[in-house]
Amino acid sequence: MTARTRGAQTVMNLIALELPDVITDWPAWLESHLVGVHLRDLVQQLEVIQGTPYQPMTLDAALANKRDSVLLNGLKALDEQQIVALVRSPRLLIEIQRLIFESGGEY
Amino acid sequence: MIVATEESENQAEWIARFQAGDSVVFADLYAKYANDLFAYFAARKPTRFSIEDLSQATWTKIWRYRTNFTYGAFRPWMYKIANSVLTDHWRRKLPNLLAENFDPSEPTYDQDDSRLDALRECLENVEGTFVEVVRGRVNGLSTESLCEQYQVNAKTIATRIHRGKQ
Repeated sequence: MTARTRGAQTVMNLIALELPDVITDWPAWLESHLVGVHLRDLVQQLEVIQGTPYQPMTLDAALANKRDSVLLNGLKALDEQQIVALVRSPRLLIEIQRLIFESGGEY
Repeated sequence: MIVATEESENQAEWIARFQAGDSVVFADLYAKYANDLFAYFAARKPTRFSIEDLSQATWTKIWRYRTNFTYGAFRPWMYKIANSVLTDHWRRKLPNLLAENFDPSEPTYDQDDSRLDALRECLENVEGTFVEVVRGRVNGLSTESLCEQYQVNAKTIATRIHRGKQ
C-alpha cells in the first residue's frame, strides 16, 4: 500500500492502514512499531487520517496510573480506552518510546 | 565460570569488564540495543540526518566514555549519549536555531512533507465512505458500530477498506 505524488518521486508505505481490525490486537501491533524504524511515519499518517488538528494530550493523562505497569509489561497493561487514546494522540507513541527506552525498567 | 550481564548480580564485574573494553560485553550490548537505538533515532531525526551516522557516533561515544559508566542500568545511560549525539548533529546543521532549552528527544515534524501531502490528496480523492470508515476505525469504533452508522454489513465495511487501500 503506497501513496504516490504525481511524478512518482515519493513513495510512502501506508502503515496506518494496517492497524488491526480488533482493538485487542493494537497493543502488540503498536509495540512492534515502537521498536521499528517507521514509528515517525505511523504517527504522521495517523494524524493525517484523522484530519483534525493535533490535539495535545499529556502522557501522564493518557497513562493515568498505569505508567509503572507499562514500563514493566508494555502497552498490554493499558485498557482499550487508553490504547485508543494513544492512537488518537499518536505523538504520545514517541513519548512512550522515550519513556521505555530511557527507563532502566524490565520491559 | 559465571558470566556477568548488565542485569546480573555480578553487575560490578560486568561494569569492570565494560570499562576495560571487553569485546564480548560490547558485542552483547550491541546485539541487545542496536535496533532500539536505530528506532529511537528514526523517530526523531529530520530527514537529512542519517540514522546510520547517528548510531555509529553513539556507539563510538559509548566506547570513548565507557569509564564514566560506574553504576545503574546501561540503557538510560546509552540514551543520554544518544541525545547528546543528536544535539551535536543539530548544532552542526542548524547552529543558530537551537533554543537554549532544546530537547533532542523531542521529534521535529516537517511541515512540508510531500509524502504526507500525497496521502492527504489520496484521502480527499477517494470516493465513498472509505475515509469515514478508516477514521472510525482509528478512533476505536468496532466493525459493528461502523455497520450501524453506515447501515451496511460487515463484509461491505471490509470491502470498502480494502478498495480504499488500493
